[in-house]
Amino acid sequence: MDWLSRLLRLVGFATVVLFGVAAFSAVPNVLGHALSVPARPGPADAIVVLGGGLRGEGILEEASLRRTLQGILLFRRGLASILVLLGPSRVIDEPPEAEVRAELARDLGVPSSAILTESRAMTTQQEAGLVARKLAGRARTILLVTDSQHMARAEPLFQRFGFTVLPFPADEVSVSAESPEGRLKLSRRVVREGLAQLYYRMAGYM
Amino acid sequence: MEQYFVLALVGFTTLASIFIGTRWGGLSLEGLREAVRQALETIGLALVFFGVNLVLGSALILVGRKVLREFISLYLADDIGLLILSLLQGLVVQHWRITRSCAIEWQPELEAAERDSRRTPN
Repeated sequence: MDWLSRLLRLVGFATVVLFGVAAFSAVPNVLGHALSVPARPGPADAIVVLGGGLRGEGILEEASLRRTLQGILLFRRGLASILVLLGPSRVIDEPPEAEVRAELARDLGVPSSAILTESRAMTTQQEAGLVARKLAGRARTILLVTDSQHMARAEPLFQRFGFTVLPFPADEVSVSAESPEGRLKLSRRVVREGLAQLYYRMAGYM
Repeated sequence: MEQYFVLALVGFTTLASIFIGTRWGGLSLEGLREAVRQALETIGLALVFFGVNLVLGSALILVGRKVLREFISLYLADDIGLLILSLLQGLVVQHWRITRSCAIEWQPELEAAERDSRRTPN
């Protein structure tokens, strides 16, 4: 079993090196930048805010709150006349994320008539499809709000449904993070999004 | 600068523990080398467990989607708890391996001691 011990030591050593690179070097920042899509703000027909998750009991996840606030700010700047908020329910009896976001938007001065919600989509692919149906004939150019790494996957999906996409990222994890914790979070985000892109390509969504 | 603070802190406490261990704790530097080897094996085992858990978890979610005809998020497998539990699995299995190798190493000595004790009249 000596070979097994050697192999495990090798894997262990590689893990420690990888951890060092992920936490204490600029590699995650470089990869994060490479995967990110920069903001291209401009006038659009609608602002589409992708789902970011619910914590339960009607509380938005941090990513969801950031995206929602970004969408509301874009709306209040007058960049579009429709605000589309997405996000499903976490459990059956709870209100969907989209409705929680809509309530926040109304509280912050967005008129109800300008808000559209969609709470059936569970994946980015489904979000693109359902938004395309909802906005058919009403919007062609959209300001898309999600985080910058997810944007790299979301933008082509919405383009496939005929939209002209103006990306406007709202980031939970900064690509300029310098602390070990920040870089580890960024590394996790980059790996997760890289795998998601791979899955979407294999499934033929992209 | 933030990352250097953490590195410097851990470097300092590591050196301090080596100093205290060798000076007053009866530990040797040769033992430290073996400890590092064991630690690397533990981390290696933890990573193997993590990989298996992640692949198996993702496969179960994809199969579950087909069988239950219900959406189950792949993000279920993307939980920091999985990493920590995999590390615990690695720790336990590594200790198990060490116990086994010690038992094999000491077996002849233990048997000899037992034979001796039988021969020696009380």
